[in-house]
Amino acid sequence: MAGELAKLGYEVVVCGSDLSPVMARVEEVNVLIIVDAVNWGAKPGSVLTARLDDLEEEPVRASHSLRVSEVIKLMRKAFGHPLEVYVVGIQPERVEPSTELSPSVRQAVNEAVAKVRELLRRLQENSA
Amino acid sequence: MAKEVVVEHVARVEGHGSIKVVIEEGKVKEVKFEIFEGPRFIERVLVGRMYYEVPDVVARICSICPDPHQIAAVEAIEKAFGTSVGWQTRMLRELQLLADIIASHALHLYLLALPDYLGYPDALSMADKYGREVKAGLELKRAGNAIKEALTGRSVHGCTVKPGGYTRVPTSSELEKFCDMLKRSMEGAILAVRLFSSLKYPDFARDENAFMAVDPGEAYGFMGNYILVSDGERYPVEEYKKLTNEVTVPHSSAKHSSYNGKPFMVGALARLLLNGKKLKGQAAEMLKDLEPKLDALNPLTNNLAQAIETVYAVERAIEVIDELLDKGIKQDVDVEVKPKRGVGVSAVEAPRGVLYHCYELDDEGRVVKADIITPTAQNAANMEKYIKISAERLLSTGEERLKGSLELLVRAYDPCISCSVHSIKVIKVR
Repeated sequence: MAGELAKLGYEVVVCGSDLSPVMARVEEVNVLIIVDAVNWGAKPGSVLTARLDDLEEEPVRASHSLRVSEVIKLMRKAFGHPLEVYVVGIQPERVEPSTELSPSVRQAVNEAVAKVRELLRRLQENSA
Repeated sequence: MAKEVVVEHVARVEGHGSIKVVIEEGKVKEVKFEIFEGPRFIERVLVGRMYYEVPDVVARICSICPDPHQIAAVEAIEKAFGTSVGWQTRMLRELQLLADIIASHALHLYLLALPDYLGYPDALSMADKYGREVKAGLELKRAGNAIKEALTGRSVHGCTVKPGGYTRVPTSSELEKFCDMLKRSMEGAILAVRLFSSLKYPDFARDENAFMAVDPGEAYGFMGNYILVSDGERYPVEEYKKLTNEVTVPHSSAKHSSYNGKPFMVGALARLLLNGKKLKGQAAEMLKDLEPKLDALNPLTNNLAQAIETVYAVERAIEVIDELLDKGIKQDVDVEVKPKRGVGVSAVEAPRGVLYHCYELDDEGRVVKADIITPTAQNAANMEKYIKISAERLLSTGEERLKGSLELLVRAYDPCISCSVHSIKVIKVR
């Protein structure tokens, strides 16, 4: 997905399991869209679009136990940004070590890219 | 009758494991540092892959310290092939390691360890009262991340590091920008030393310890061809198996290491105790003033060692950038890599201690065998030893204090690579 979005000209930061690389340009970031696998118990391959603040994150730890929502709150406290954070997520079929995407997730990539574009278009319209 | 007390999700460590303290007739009968984290078979994944794929694969071992893994890999492969890289590549590799140390120590000190000592459950909870400290930690991490990103294409799991050099090197203007960022973040590094030198480290874990660190040569650093041991011995890195003596233990998916039959510690405390005299600049001055607080018998003081080392890393990174700018950064300095059958071993200092990579390669440069020994795996037996000592001394203080103290102890090692504590169980057998 990172590759697909970069091809479309969006600024993409590959974070792995550590969201802190976003800090590199955080003062310039009003809107951050996190694109990742999100397990919310839906049908595998379903695509979710939501504001991070509207999601209740499970107490599952990311690297060194800093959850996505915690890192965002810390950044907001320290730098005042990012102002708005959205999540575009794909429901995984399975969560286990693998080098390939499951078929349902692979099929959902284009839809997720389209959701990111739609979200950005909506945000631009609202700010105009 | 057995009683089980469990603390779920011990905060601010990575991975899944547990500490089990078995108490019988008022005494600690047994302690186990259990690690359940599933093996990822990275060494097996590498077999059959070409030498130039290795740094990209090993970067995936860890999102906090992919850089030492990449550098250890390329150094070992170059040794196997008899390849020597030039001055610029060596400097860029040093800068990459320094950036990783800055980012990793900043995360651990400010966001993971400090809440323990200030009485908060996590960094977020202390951010209102200690906003300056949280911002200082994030600024340091940001500087480290930015350098890593410019050098490797990404701040996590970079992809430009190859045997022979880098597929892309930073421009002069990028380097100048980093110099400014580092100078700004130095305040945060100094603040970390002030904070961690003002703390009173509990002494429940004090006991004899042994240490190992890479011998960087005349100046302090993170790469070298020999390993120093606190008993005065010095071994070539090729003899790493004599130093680690890994054995499997039934309760852990991380092997346990020992030297002369005893566990040992690697990491910032080991580095400063063994190589601290080689420091220069502000870090050397700080070490001189704070040496009495850097207690070789107390692993909790590893946090103070990390703080002093952060000052060193910022100072040295500025120096490295200045040298690169003075000489002029060149875009095409890679050396030709000629694969040949051989074995190469390297050791670099990752934030958490000595990291070994060993590769056997065939005539075409395909990996025949890979062996990677991480610092947290080396520290696992040492942690278990100190958990036992601490549990024995804290037994009468009650379960809550015991659990909190053991978490504090484990966290002081800054365990990584998913080899850490998930929950603590205290089982009482009457």
